[in-house]
Amino acid sequence: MSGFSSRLPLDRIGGQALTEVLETWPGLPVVAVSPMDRDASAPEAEEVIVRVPLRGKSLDGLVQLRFPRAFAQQALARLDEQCQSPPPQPADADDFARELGNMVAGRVAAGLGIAGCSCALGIPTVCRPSPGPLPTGCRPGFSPLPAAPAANAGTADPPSQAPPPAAPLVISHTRWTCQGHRLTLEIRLHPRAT
Amino acid sequence: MTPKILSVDDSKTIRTALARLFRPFACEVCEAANGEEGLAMAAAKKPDLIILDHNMPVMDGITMLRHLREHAELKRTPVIMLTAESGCENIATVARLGVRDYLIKPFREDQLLAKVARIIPLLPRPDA
Repeated sequence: MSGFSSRLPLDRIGGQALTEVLETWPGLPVVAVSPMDRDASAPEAEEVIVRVPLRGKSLDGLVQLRFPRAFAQQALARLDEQCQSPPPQPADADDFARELGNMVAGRVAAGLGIAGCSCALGIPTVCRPSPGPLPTGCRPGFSPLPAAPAANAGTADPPSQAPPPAAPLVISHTRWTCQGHRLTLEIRLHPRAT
Repeated sequence: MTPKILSVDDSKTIRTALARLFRPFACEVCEAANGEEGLAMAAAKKPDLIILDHNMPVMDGITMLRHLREHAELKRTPVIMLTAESGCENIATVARLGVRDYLIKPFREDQLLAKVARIIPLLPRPDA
């Protein structure tokens, strides 16, 4: 049924993707948070969630990155420190989040490709867990990831914004700190129905 | 004549980074946020180089590239792909469409400058 193994080292693939991206762009060191360290810091007020769908011949999936808006603004300020740009606006932070998610998902897809599970990236979407208007394709209540209708499984469409089915075969959920901010990376993969 | 670079990326963060990167050089940088805008901008500006993202809404980079290669005046325009996609199939597809180079995001600025300098002259801006 599926062309991939439930023993895929997703934590390692995701961790490498996140650290490589953040250390290259915008050049920030990132440290893994131990699974035992549950409540080391209080959640920050406003968070951003970016989701990137994955679609391969044998799998569907989703890469979700969650971090405080303040982290996006801090990273943007670092990117802009060489030039005298005006302070980042909220839309700039969303744009940064989309691009960061895109890069991390790209590295995750590369890692999956090395493991024999090639996949393409969909368009990233940014969502906010707090009340307020949501961009198209986003839904409130992000944890756990919403289930998709069974009819969505196994279609031959290109990567879409549709959430994956409810019972993924492989899940990775890792937490990280970067510049004092808490980041969460979640990867979910499902076999594609044939 | 000042070389023209067209940057096509849906991310303002990336377009801004590229504009900043080329600011010290005697070149003109114009921007488009997707393949459709990129084609229109390319037809209007006749750039000497296009730096093109793959994964964009409205029209993706590969579709733009295919249209570009069918355009009488633009078909020989050099293109560097700058994308988070690193799959072999994707690279093979764009290679067949004649891209000059391929750089995976996140990119190092010196790497991109080196690739660009192989295609167009990057001379210091006279007023810099």
